Amino acid sequence: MYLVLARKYRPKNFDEVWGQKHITEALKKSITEERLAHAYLFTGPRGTGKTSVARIFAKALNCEKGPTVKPCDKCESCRTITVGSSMDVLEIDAASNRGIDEIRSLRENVNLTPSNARFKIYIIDEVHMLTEPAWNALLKTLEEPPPYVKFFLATTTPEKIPSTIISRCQRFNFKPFRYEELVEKLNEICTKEGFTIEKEALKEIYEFSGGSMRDALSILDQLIVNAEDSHISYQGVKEFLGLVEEKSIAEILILVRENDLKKLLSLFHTLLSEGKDPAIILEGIIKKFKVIILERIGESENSIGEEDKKLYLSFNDVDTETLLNAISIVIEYKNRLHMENIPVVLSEILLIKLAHMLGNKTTLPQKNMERKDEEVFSGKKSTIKEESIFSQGKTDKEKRHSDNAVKGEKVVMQSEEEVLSQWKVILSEIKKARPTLEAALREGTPVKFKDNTLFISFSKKYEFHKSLIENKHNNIKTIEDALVKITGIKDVKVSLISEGKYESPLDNGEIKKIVEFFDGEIINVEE
Amino acid sequence: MDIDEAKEFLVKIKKKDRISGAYIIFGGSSKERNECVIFLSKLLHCKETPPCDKCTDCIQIENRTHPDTKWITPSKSTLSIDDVRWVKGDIYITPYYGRRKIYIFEISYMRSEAANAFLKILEEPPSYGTLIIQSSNINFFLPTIVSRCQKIRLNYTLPEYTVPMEKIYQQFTDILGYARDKDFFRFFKAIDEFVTERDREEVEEDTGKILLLYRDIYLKKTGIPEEFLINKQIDDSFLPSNRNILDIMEKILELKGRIRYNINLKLALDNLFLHISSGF
Repeated sequence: MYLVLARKYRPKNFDEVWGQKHITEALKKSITEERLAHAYLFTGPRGTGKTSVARIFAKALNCEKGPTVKPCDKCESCRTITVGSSMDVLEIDAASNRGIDEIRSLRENVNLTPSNARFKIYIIDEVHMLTEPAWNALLKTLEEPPPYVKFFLATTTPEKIPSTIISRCQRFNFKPFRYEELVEKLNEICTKEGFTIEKEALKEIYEFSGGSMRDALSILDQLIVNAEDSHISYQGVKEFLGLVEEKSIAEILILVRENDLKKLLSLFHTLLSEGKDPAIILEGIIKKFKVIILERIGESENSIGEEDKKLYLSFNDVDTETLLNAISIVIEYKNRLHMENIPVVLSEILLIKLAHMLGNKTTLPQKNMERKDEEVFSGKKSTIKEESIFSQGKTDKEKRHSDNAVKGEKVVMQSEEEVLSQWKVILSEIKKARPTLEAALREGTPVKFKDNTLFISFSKKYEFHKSLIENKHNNIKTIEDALVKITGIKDVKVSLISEGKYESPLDNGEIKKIVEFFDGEIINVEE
Repeated sequence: MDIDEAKEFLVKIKKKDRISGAYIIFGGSSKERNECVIFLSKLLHCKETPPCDKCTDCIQIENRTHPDTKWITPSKSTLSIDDVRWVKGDIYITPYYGRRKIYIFEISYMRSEAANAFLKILEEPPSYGTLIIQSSNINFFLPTIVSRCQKIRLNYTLPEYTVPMEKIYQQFTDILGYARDKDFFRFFKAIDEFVTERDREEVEEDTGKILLLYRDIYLKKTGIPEEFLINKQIDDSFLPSNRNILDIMEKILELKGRIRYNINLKLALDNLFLHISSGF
């Protein structure tokens, strides 16, 4: 019967426990010096040997020749513990027996002496999942159990354990494996299994496992299945793990910078069809941003390569703050991947967002800052995104005018439509002078341009904005100046009106008088 | 891996006799995942390699009636701790006549209680037991879960355009249509219906489908070739002209994330649709 490597090579005695010397030494010493506590707490990330150490410790204490640091593995007690059928070593999965009732029955059993071994040992795994009442029911037993009872608690999340529990236990922190430790062990296992493995491959496995032995071994397991001629190559590992080449990430970022959505998405989908994981692509992007920023502030460890150089240069005119913002957005989306069942679409949206943010068609940094002020002022959410695709819908005419405005050429406009259509351009001109004024003015709509006077109407809701503009005489002047600049018409006046006032001449007092005088009624209004 | 590579890999597992106790199959479309799961279970039961598709085992697995191949498809695709407890009891009963005992979990989400209860059995199932998890996204699961499984990664793809999706679009178009006509009585009533005829998880899923719709519109407007669109016949008639699509997509995503946190669905959707249609 085949066992996965992680189970096959589960350490069977203290000497086989790898990379956790500080723990095994302490435990051994406590056995030889007969200073045993009654409760131990093993904490640490996944795949570092918590459960294994708990089992070995149990064996060491209960071995017929013991308590010894070298359990014999032959006696009745050792063998039953290995198989998991020992009457006196009870391995409890706290995650599925997490209630107070389970703890109560445990408390009752604690009082029974061990059936044939020295100690009665409770290994409580995944102990962080116990419920609040269960913890509290355990407190008394954990503090003063009968002399023949030992508790070994194991968990990956010690922060969930009440401090009253922690203070009653001897705590041992397992640490993730260091590169050399893990690689040495993997090499050893590969040799035992009759396989050779390339050094780069080991490095990638380590990166991917995050220092967890079980992760590394489960990857190795699958690589062995895929291996040809008993050899595991770097190429094979890369393909298997779906690692994304740095080159592709750099390419993605350059396309982001060029704002070329078409190419960007097709590259992204090519990567997916090659079997890459969106999460890994996002991770790669974060790393690349980091490279750029480190290079910029001159803190990079080693000089950047040709590929990165090109990337670095293309991001030259994006300021660091924007880059940092971009990183935090990518991280946010990467976290969202944990929640969404449409990872592909989510990543696409992120790429589009990045393209808008960093693409060289927008001059983002300044704009972003200004807008923030207005957001506060007008209480309306507006971000760079407004720039998006609708700006491409600008009519040619508008473009021409805005170009002209930029160049400072005078184009004299006459017709009402023409002036009204330029409203957005006028607004942006005003913004250059007084951002806050523009924000208030945005709530108004230009309704009419007649006799060199532009009427801007404000609805009742925005009376406040209107009064804000009127309060300062300067404001009207600024608007007029902008008008002159854009339209080219001299002596333009601006008049702010409240909604409805302009539209209905019937409110006009003179007209009312006439109507009253003739006792008539208004049938039609023509201008 | 695409589906054929995955099958090839699985065959190798059997040939080299390296069958693990736990697999997680993720990525790909649900059809592909299903095919992969069925192939794997046949492989584990059938005497032939690759499976013959003719023996009783194979036929029963195909029809999902095999006594030693159990499908755990919890409602709302969320695995509960009771399901896990049941499996824990059941797995220790030796197989009926198959060679192994297989549990297939079709889930997309796991509460942390269930996940933690799952850990022990996932790590050390009995020698004849195999647990297979199939899910669209591996990131749903705790790293401790994933580290206990052999990972079969199918290529990530875009979701497919389906009939239920079309139905949602229809409903959605109606709602926006009312908003456009300023018929707010019907507008709110339609949203009310949208919410009441679904439960929380379905609302979450369906708002996701609306997101796909806007993604398509966006890409079409930007002139992306049709092959990247999910719904090729998308029309943007109900897109308010002066709203920004990215902004809307962001809003939908935000809402989707919040649905898990017990917000008032009706109000949230009112808000969303008003936001979308405020530009009409």
